[in-house]
Amino acid sequence: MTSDGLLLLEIAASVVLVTAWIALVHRRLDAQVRLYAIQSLALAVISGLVAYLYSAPLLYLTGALFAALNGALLPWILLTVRRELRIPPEANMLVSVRGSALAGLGCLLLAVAVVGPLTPLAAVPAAGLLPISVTVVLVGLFVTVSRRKAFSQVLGILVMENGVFLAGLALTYGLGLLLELGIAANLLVLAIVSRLFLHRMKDSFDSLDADVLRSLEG
Amino acid sequence: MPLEWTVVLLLVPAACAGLVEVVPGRSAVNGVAIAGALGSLIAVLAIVQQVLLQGTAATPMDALYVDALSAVLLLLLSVVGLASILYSVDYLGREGSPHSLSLTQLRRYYAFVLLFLFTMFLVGEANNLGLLWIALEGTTLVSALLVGFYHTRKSIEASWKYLVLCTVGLVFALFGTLLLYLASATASGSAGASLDWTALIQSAPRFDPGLVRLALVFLFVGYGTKAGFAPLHTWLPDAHSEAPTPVSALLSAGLLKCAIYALLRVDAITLRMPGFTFATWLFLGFGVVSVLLAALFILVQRDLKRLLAYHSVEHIGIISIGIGFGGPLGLFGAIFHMVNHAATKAALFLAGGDLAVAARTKDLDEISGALTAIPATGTVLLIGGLALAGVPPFSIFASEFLIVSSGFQAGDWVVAVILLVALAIVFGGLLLHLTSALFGPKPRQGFPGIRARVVGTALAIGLLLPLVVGMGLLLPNPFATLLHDAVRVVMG
Repeated sequence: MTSDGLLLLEIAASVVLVTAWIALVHRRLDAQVRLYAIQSLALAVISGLVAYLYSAPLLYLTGALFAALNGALLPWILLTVRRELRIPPEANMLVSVRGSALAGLGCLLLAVAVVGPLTPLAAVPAAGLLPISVTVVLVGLFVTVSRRKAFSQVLGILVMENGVFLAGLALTYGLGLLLELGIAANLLVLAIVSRLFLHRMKDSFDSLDADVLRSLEG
Repeated sequence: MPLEWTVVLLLVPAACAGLVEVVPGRSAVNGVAIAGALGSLIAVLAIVQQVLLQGTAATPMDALYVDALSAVLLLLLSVVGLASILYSVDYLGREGSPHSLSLTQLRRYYAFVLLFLFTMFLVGEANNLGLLWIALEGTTLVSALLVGFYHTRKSIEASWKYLVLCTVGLVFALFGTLLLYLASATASGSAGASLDWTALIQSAPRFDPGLVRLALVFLFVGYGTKAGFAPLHTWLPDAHSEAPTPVSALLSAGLLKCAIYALLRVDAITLRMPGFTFATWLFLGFGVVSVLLAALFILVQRDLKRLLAYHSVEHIGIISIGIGFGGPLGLFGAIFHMVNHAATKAALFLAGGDLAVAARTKDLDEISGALTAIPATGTVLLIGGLALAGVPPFSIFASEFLIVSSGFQAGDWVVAVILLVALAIVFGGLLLHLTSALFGPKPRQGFPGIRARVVGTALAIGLLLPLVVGMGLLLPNPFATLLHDAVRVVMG
């Protein structure tokens, strides 16, 4: 049973990695948001599996919370915002699809190189998930800096936070319910504040490319 | 049950943030905001007294914990908070004031400012690295709304940049926090793993150095972005210059110190690891880059608020170098400098706002003769400017002197000399800018936007100026004790 659990864990972790990578190369914003939702649900599953495998029952709750917020509510907010503001459905990429794909690979290699040499990790059972989580953080960072649309920047940050959540699961079985709740509340507020700013940007600039935000220099 | 001032300090601004939304009329709204800031200051003073007597002020649950180091932060936050709100009354709060807000906007403004104070107080009171992170991310979310408060194109640009950069930074910091948690878990067995200061400090000597090094990289990039370390500072001049002036003062004097405080807490942990010097190098490295880069930008800057913003980068660099030099002298200088820079910079932002209103421009090239046209504001700017440039006998000179001496004492000659050179450049740059704006011929028609005497502004600056001038001459005994205790918190 435990080995089945570990197999499931590996499958779910692969889903997290693959969704990050596809979101990186996919041009459609809505698809990217849905990939983010799938990734979040996979993370919720991992949370449940870690709870089961390492008898950390609080992680069932964390996982449920995560599924509700990151898997459903945040994607819903993002999709609504895109429709409200009539943001064109295609991502505006500074780096080509091929370049992005290579960058995703680079993120993975970098993550393995950074995390590999850490000796104390041998003692942590789920430490194998750490390179994946670092990759997801880096991919999120890449999305944030390589896309012109302010909308994509928000999505990139949310992907980064997903990576950190996975690291939390892998290393510490989560930070405890209270802190997870605090972090979740922050994420929700971030989404609301971003939505507000996107509306203001639309009103003032009539464009949501971060490119128009270039007047303040020096 | 005795009154828990640590809890009161959080309840007061939170409650007042709710109250400003419901009380009727402008003067009531202004009054509630002032009451919130004043109440916070009183709570902080009570906490400081408790810390001086007992060493700490904790709550039964141990979620909140205040020692001398956090008490210094709370003190500077509450003083700057009160000054900023007093100033806001004249600047935004009254009808006919230069940037007068509608009643609805004014309610919202004060609610945000009070929530901003709440999150910053929580930074100072959190006994837990995770809670600290939540509080700091909270400061970003609230203050981004304040930076973008005017809804102008530039302010939207500045606040978006601020929100995105600092949030990305903080995600890194959260990752670093996790790694530190892992270090604590592997050092003490998973049962003893904790993110509480008190626990982390206990188990720090057994932490794995490799893991902590990686954690520090993430924590420095994360909290360093928020603190305004160059080259991660790019959000800072935009946010400081586009925010309403009282908010600029809060950002520069308060928020940056919150991020430095988080790094000081991390430093306190790594100082307990035998032979571990990585944090020292990070502090010195970021400090040197910040000081040098800021010095260059200060020379060419013409916008008053951006000039002050780059000075923040410079002074954050100086504080960072002081922490890097370390030892009782360096740390004392750095923590003292946090307070001095907060008081001086807040006074300058507020007086500078006054100047910009009177002259109807922020461009220093277009301003001249301020000292004769608006003598009171002009004098404050002159004193503040000299203080900021590190001229004796002002307080900033005192702490800079301590920091430079500690560098020579520690044998870090290279960094100490670099710091001195940068300070000389900044001194020249600041005098260049200020002499033309303050002295020089007064415009023939005088300044177009001069306001009648303004009580709130006078009170706000009157609160800060004695600190700018006085603490360079005489350090009151209880405060000196508090600073010494704060150094001991960091060093052990």
